Amino acid sequence: MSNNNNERYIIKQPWYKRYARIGSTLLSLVALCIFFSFATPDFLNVFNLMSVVRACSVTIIMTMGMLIVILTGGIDLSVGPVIAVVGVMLATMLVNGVHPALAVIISILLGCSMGLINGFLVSKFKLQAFLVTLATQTAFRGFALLYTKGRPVAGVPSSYTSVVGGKIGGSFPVPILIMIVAVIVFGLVVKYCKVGVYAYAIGSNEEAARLSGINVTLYKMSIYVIAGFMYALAAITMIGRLGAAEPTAAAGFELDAIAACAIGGASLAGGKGSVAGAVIGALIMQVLTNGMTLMNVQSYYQQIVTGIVIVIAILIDRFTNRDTK
Amino acid sequence: MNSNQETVLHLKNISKSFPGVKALRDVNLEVYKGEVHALVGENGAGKSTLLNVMKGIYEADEGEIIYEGQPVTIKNPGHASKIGINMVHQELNLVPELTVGQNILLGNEPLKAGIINYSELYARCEEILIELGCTFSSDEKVGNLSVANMQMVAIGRCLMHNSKVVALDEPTASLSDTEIEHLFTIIKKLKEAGTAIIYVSHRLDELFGIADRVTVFRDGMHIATKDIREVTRDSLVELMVGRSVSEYMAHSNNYSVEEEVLRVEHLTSKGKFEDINFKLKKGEILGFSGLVGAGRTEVMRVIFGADKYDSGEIYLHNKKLDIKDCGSAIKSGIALIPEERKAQGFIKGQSNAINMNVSILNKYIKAGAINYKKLYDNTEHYIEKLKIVPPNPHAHTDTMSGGNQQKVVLAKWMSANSEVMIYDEPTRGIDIGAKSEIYRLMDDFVKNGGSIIMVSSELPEILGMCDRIVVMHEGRITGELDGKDATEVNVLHYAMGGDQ
Repeated sequence: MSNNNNERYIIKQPWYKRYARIGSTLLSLVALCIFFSFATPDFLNVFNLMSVVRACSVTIIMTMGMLIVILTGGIDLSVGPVIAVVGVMLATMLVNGVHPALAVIISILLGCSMGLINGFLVSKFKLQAFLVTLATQTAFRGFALLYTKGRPVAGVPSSYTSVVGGKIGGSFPVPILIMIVAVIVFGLVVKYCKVGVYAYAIGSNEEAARLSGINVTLYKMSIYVIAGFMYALAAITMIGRLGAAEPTAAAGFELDAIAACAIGGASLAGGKGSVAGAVIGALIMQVLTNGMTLMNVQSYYQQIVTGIVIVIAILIDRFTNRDTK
Repeated sequence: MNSNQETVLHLKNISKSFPGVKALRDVNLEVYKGEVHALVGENGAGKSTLLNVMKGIYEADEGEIIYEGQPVTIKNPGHASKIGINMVHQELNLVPELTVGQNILLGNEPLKAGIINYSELYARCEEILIELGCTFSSDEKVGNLSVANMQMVAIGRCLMHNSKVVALDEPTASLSDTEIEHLFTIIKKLKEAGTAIIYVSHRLDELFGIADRVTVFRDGMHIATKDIREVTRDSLVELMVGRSVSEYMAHSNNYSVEEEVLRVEHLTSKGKFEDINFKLKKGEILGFSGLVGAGRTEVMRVIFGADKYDSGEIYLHNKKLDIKDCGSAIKSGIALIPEERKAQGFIKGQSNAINMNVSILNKYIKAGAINYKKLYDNTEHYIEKLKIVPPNPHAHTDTMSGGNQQKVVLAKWMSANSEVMIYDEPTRGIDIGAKSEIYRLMDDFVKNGGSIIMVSSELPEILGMCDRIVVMHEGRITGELDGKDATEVNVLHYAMGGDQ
């Protein structure tokens, strides 16, 4: 085995094997779109498809935050309240004439600090993420309500909504642009930065990761901060679209984010999942809602169907990963 | 003994493969009614795999199971129990939070109008405990029992099922002499009642006191089945190993320069070990011997920064080390190849490429981003150098055989340019072929100026590979021997706590 026939000794993984899971998720999305194209005449047109993507831009952005937490084997139930807190504070700042750029920066820091609280409790004291974020979920929501005395914050100036909630060239929605840029940057971070690789390592086997020299405490904490960053970005986008903030907003968003990650192949046990998968997962859920609404399916039925889709997705994962036995 | 020789269980021509390793090749095991049938072989020989096939945990690729004269398909462990095939796992698989009675009758709770009838449950449990000669109460929490008593509970569970075949996997591994004696009395009782016992053990000497026949496995193959009176300890070892130990261990003392690399002074971690002092020289393999629980692993984990310690100093090249965590130990050039490979050595569910490079990602980072080309170049370099099979950077490390997994762990530390490698039970669960390769790699490493500390419970390995041997007993160093002077006898003398 000499060095020059290196190429022959090393097995090159065929590309289709590496992208099998993500490919099948993508295929499901395409199949769903084809189905709705035939089922309802209103589905397949640029306007409708654009509205589908716009409607789930916020979901996709926050799902990125949830994904990286899930990769570490954690979970974040505080997504909705974090978005609500950032939303009401951002709206209040804007209403009171704070410069939008400054308000956005403060909002991001706010999201990061709430992530830091979660991350600190989870990593420093080795508490269970589910319980920590269950507690902060309640506390953050309480804070949002207290801050606004339970009232919505309306009247965000159009100088903000017309930019963040507006359209480029009169046709391309800015929220979609924010989402696309966020996903690309986030995807690059997960793939090319240590924190991404370490998220997988920690989620797969925390002890082995520690014995490989990874500062698990530090990276776990950073990961919750990154998640907080993404939630803040989701809130910033959301306020741009709505022009107002409610302290009770974004209730249950964490469940949408978890579902999107799971449909995209993430495992709640950690170490498994992908950015592209989570994005497609969020799109699948939105296409389902949109298509069924166009078909005049009652929303109660829609919920049942969404539930079934999640079960199917995890069943597929179960049966394509038999090597765990 | 077993004059009637009525076959109760025949595992016939069983083969089983896992990704990357053929665990069983056309293996046969025939067990008679009322016999104690010992099953021996090195780690990775296929004993556990066969027992798992018997219990319905794995499905055999080929072969059949004939039970009481009938071919059977064992669907799952519950099914196996129901038809009378039971196993006491080494890990015992008890529920510590439940009581003895609840554990023994788990899944067979007597019901009265759909509600568990506890008075009957405990009454039935008491009967079994009396039969086993146990003195603890049936409503004691299992978590409060000693290991020996937990084992009795696990055996009690087998009795509950009216077992015709009971497999005991390393039953004496953590028992004291008197406890072993008690266990043997119970085994003899079961035997007299006609139960067939499959007895898996690494302690060859004890087989002669309990077994009727012995079957030897090696590398997933059936090597021999013999009457216990036909074999000696040495002939068993030879059957297990296939060649004499010295043949595949290749290390000759080669530290000519007396250059100290690592020095440990008065290292103490309360409750684990006390006042540990030793030196490691350049180009040397230093063995750490002792019984399980002597504190060897704990010392190594402290040196590697995995655990905290109370007092003492560690010096590398005469410079005091301040090891805060594993990361700082790795930076200083210290590496640990841990005992629990699957749980600690590599990251399950991740590729070889990630596992080999996860400790040195900094090397590949340029402008904040990982240069994957370099990372894969390094991976391919080591796959080739260490002849890792399958030679696939994307293969998940956990799907490969033990030997190849270990090579991936070694590649990680070689990539990190480690100077001191601490091997903790380096060849556990590794087949012979890969073992000799690991030994060769260790030898290469020290020949090129590295130093090795090897913790091992396998005496032949310690005696065959080490230049010097430190022996520990109950958290203290009790002896230090030159490799040339060391014998099984004097190492064991110190391991049992004997004086210098």
